[in-house]
Amino acid sequence: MALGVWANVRGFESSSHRMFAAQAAAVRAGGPDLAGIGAAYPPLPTLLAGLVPGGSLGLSVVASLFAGCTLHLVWEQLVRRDVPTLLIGCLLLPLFAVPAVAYAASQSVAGIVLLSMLAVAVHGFVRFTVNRDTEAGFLTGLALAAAFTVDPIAIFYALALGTATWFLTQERLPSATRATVAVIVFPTAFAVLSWTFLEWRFTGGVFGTLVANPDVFAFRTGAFGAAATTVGASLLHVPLFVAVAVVFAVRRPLALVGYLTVVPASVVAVWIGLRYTPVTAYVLFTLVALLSVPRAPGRHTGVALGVVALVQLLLAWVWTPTSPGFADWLAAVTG
Amino acid sequence: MQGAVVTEKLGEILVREGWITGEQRDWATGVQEKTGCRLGAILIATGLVRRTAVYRLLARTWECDYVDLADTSLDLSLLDGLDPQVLGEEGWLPFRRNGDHIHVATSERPTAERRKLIEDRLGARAELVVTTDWDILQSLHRAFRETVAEQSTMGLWRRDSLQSARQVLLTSQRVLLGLTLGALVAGVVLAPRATVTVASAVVSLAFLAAVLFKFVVCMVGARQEHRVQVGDAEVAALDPRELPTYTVLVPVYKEANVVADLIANLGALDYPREKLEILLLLEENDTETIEAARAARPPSTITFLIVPPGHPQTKPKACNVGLFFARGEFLVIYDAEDKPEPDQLKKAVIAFRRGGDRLVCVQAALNYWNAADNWLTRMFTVEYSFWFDYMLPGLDRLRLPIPLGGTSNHFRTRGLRMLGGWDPFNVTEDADLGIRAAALGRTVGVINSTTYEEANRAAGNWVRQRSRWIKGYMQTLLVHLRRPGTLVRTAGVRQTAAFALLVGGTPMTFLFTPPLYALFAASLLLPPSVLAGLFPGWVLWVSLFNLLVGNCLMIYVSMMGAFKRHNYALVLWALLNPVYWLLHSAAAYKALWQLVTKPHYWEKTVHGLSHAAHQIPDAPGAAPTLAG
Repeated sequence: MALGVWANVRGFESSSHRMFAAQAAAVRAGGPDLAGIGAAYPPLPTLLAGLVPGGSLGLSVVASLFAGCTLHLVWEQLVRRDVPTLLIGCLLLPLFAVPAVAYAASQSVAGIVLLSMLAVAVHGFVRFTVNRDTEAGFLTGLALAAAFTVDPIAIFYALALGTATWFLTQERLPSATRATVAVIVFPTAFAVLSWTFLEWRFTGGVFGTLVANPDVFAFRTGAFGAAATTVGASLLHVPLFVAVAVVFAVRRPLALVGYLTVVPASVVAVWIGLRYTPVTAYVLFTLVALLSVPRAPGRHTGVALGVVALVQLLLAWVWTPTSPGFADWLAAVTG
Repeated sequence: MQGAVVTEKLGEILVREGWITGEQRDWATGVQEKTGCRLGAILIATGLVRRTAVYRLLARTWECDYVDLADTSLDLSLLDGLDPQVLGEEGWLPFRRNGDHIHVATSERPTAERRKLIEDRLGARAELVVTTDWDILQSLHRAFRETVAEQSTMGLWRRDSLQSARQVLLTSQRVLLGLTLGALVAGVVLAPRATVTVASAVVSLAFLAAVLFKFVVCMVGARQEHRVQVGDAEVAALDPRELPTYTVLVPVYKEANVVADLIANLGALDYPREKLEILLLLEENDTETIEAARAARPPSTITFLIVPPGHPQTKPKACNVGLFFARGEFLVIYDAEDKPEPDQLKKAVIAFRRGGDRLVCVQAALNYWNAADNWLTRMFTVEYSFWFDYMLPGLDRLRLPIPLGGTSNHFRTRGLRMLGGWDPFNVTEDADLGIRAAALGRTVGVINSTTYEEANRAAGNWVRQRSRWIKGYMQTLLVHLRRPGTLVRTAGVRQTAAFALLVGGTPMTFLFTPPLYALFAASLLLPPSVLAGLFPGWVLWVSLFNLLVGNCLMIYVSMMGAFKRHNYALVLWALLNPVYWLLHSAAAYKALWQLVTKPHYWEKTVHGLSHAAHQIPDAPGAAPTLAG
């Protein structure tokens, strides 16, 4: 939060926050007949921009508070999983002691909400499909729907998780698989249809803000391979994600499928042209890895994960993941 | 408790006189060692020997005469000043005067101490004769018929009329309702646009609060998924000798077709039969069911209690009759078609012992065995799964008042009497009792056991049943909001708010569903600019939020309920909930109409309509067959 305020004092304004403030103004200008709804997608950050005073700085504060909650959630999960305190400290360092994360947590309210929701969804998905934990099913479905209110990329994660369900359901009855897919996909599908209906009803068009973006749905030639390369390269920033994947492969190979779903979903999202940067990848993959750390890791696993976490921390400082606004923000904060 | 010598003699006599074989005696003695029950009770409960035969033999052993009270006229003047419940618990009854002696029938061993106790109570010399415990109960019922009828009907009203739904609205409530309606009418006439705006805003916000409350409680309930209230190991570790007598009340009305099933279902309970007191509560004018029950030749653990006629003729009144005579430390209600999981009573005993004296009731989950019958039974099953598997555990975890379900509520008998029993004028007497318990500082919990019922498969029958439930919720709301200050002080602010949202919010949401659907349909036809002219922007936003997010959340928790029950085929049926809610609305309007016209009328639900095959659990610890 302090970095957000400091950057603001130094004259930095997040481009995404500026955009949401403009959208909120457009919604207000639409009048009481809700014609401004066409400018409202994604609705949650737009709503926040309309309600929270202080413009871009207010959104930075909200983003920081949300990041704090997410950090607390991760810490709570690790404690509940009987991870030793020292190891928890090591594991959390790559999350809160890295400039790229500080940037996302203070200058991208939509980004931090999206990434937290996706991490919760992926974590819940593994518990739901493998352990039949219905509370986790609730969380997965609702987190994906909440993610859709900040970024359409959630649709692809919902589809990816829904598809992965076919490989993961323990009960082989077709009705069980259908039901599991429905639980994961329903809230997002309902949210998408609801928003489509609202925009159509009050503006006559659908997803005007997305359609207006020339990058989305561009499907440039050779873009799929490029997208895979982009995502693959961003994995190099997060050895912790790879290390936890190895633990899954050894301990619970079935759950590995669910854990890795986030990778192809990201590739598809990049291919389609949705917002995706190395910072996004860093935060998302790190959160997913931390929420998936195995229960009561043994001594060797614990030491290995701790070392990898410290390596990732070091890497994040010497080979910093970047995004379009990151360099400007860093310059404002440090300059 | 009989002494060991007498027990041995009784067993030997029964063998010698050909009532049982030596093998059966040995089996019964083995059961006696395990459960600590009387040998006679074991033999009677398993049907190996008739009750009268055992007591005639006991009379001979005790060197007393035997009397058949069913064929004996009672001198009612002897009962003046005696408490029928004490007589039932102690097992004796004075029935005839003979000079300065009073003939007293006893179902317990006539020891010198017992004689002294009885003579002290009567203030006269007593001549003891032996009879069966069944004779004592039936004679008490006969002798105290008027008292029982009065107590079961007016008991709660006489104790505290404000807790009874006998009077639908107090004068103050009438005035308040009149003023509200008057203000609404005046508003519509004088400032129609502002009135419609305010009314829409109030309804929208109330709707939103009710939906969010249910959702939050469900999420808390979902967190309890892996918390087992009572584990199998704890049930297995129970010492049968320490199990108390358990009374099972089964009110039956116009259900001749399900009596045979009922006997089979209750026979499957895993509880020492000799410690079960099953009271079949039959209405006096329901001769068809009484005949069917007799024809079904029920085991001797089942006792018929005939409920005296009179207004109101309701299930809670019948239950109060059962409560009057109940001798069990704990008590449970089952409907005639119920199939409780066999270990449910044991789980309830453990929950009560763990919960302390303030825990007055535990509710088992209800679900349906005929979900696949048709769309209505599917929707009903989806709804029950969400309610009993998420809502009630959530309310339990949050320590909020729990409106009890219709059956499978287990009580401490003493605690239930302290609460005043059921309100015979409230047609959802179970929900009322759960709230009254909270209002009187007692708690209600849940146990992880399920009773399977028959889901209503006919729409008309369903609407009748549901209209009764919703009318009962309205009655309960009106009763407990008579003294809101007292409710807040005794139950707490959070609990009172939860009560209002749950018991008040449920009828409210169903009553307002059709107008909101109609408004939505109209909004599809009207241009947005016209809508904006009718409602302020924020009202429109809240209404849209309700419509979309409210529907989504309620459908989703229904899906999850079916999923948790592994009823995977039902998960997608939850999508039809908006249609199902319209059926609720029809029932809600019927309930509102009946609340005005016939508030105490009991809409009877017809059971036994399903063609699905019953799946009755096997009875544990079966006894050897009756001797030749």
